[in-house]
Amino acid sequence: MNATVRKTLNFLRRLVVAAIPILLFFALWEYGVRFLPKGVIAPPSRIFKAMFAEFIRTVPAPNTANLTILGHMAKSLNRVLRGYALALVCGLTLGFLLGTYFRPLERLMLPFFRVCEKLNPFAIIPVFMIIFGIYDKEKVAIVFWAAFWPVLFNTQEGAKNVDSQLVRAARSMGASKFKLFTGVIVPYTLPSIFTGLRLATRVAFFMIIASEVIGATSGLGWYYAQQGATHNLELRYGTILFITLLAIIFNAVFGGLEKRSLRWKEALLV
Amino acid sequence: MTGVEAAAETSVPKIEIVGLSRAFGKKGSKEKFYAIQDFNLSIRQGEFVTVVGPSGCGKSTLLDLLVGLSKPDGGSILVDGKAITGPALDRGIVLQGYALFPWRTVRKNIEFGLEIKGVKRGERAELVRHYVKLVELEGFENHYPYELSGGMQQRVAIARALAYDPEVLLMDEPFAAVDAQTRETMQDELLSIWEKTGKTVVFVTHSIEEAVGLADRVAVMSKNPGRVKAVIDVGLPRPRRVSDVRNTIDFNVITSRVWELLQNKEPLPEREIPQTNVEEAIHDDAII
Repeated sequence: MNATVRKTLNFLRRLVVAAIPILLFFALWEYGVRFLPKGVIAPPSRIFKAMFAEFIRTVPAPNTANLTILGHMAKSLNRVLRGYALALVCGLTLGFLLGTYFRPLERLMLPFFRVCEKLNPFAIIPVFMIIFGIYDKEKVAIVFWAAFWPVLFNTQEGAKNVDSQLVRAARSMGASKFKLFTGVIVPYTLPSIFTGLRLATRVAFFMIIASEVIGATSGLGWYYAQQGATHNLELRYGTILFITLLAIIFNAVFGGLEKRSLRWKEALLV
Repeated sequence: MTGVEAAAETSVPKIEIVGLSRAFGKKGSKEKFYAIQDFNLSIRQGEFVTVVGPSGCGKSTLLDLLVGLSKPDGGSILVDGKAITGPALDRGIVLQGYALFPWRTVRKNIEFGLEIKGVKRGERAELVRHYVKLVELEGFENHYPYELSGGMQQRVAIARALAYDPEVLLMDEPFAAVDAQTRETMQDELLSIWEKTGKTVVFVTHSIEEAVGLADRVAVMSKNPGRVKAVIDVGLPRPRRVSDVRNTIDFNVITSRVWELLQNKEPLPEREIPQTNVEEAIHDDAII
């Protein structure tokens, strides 16, 4: 009991310490804005007020064109999830195949894949627009393209380097190919898969906002661009903060998931 | 010849290795390199045999063949009179460097072979309890390997290999990675486990002292190609503790004979083992 209390207190103390620079930053922002010409930066107080109003704004049911920021967030998340899930399935499958049973193909395919990865994803957005249009399909494709490579490469790399002694141990106990895969290769690869997923999440968010800013009719990126077009300073900065907050939340959820799955590696992670 | 040996002579050996060879292709030539050639060794039921040889003499290749992880290019390995066809649960292996699954707790590591064997959950828990007790790791069932010392990890590896109840225990330099003190403790623990379980053990090592201290018989290997140069009967009394016999004259005579065999191309004429002071050393604590 005592230990739990101390742990909680410790956590709270760390939280307070970490919050100091953030609060200072907002205070400075609030105060500093007064010295700038009007219409460049909105002060946080007004941003929060505008954002709050936006959050509680109700939209008449059929009017999707007038969605709130939350509605647009839902649209964006939906696209991200679909593209991400697709990247996950394809990246893991191909990564494991190239890393294990189809090793000879690795030499043939990997250089080509590396080139694909190096293509600037921003530069491909217009190409994808021509192929897929500017609606959901194109956004999902962009997210897929960006998230696929880190998942593929990290899975392949991890599976390739599986500890041969562990494979010997499992095989000596008569492990079937299936058991070898699920019991040794997958758990061994998990840490590098997580590395891939973390990178993929980051680029997926990056690319969805970017592609929606460049051309869309809905979504957080489009919403953000819209506030610029209508010179709504408060909501514009508010959207930036909101997207940042989303990224932080996703990171935290991911970090927790990773820590939980890799508890056996704790000594190495700390 | 003792009664046990006489009985064993007449029955089928537990493991019979006849004319075994294993070759690897050399890079950039058609020539073949024989890691093992014309290897012969016969091991009785319940016997503790150590295989000692210089590094690179094909000890690990031999174990791989015994496990069934690789196929011989010639000759055969018979277990209970039947040629082995691949890895099976009648042979358990303890690998160099433990080879524990780091994502599995002690309990789950020990259960790995049992899962493959299809043992039910309740029964698995029972077996884990038994083998954890045997290797004296009670209270560590839910620890991960990284939380254990080298010696403890080694004990988990032994428990894992014993848990699915193989008849033969194959050990590939299992104590090479632990410190000297731990090694000695582990050797004595292994002997006591062996005495309790009665498994047939084939133990590969490069340490002469370890080979002699543990074994009923020591197979001395030569290099290029790897084959058995001589098999030496140790004959030190059982039950035995390596720490007890290590300072006896008999032990030293045997180790120096193994040493000579490893040094010289031709084995020297056999010398009589005095068999003088071992019993005293063990039972009266009269260490010389």
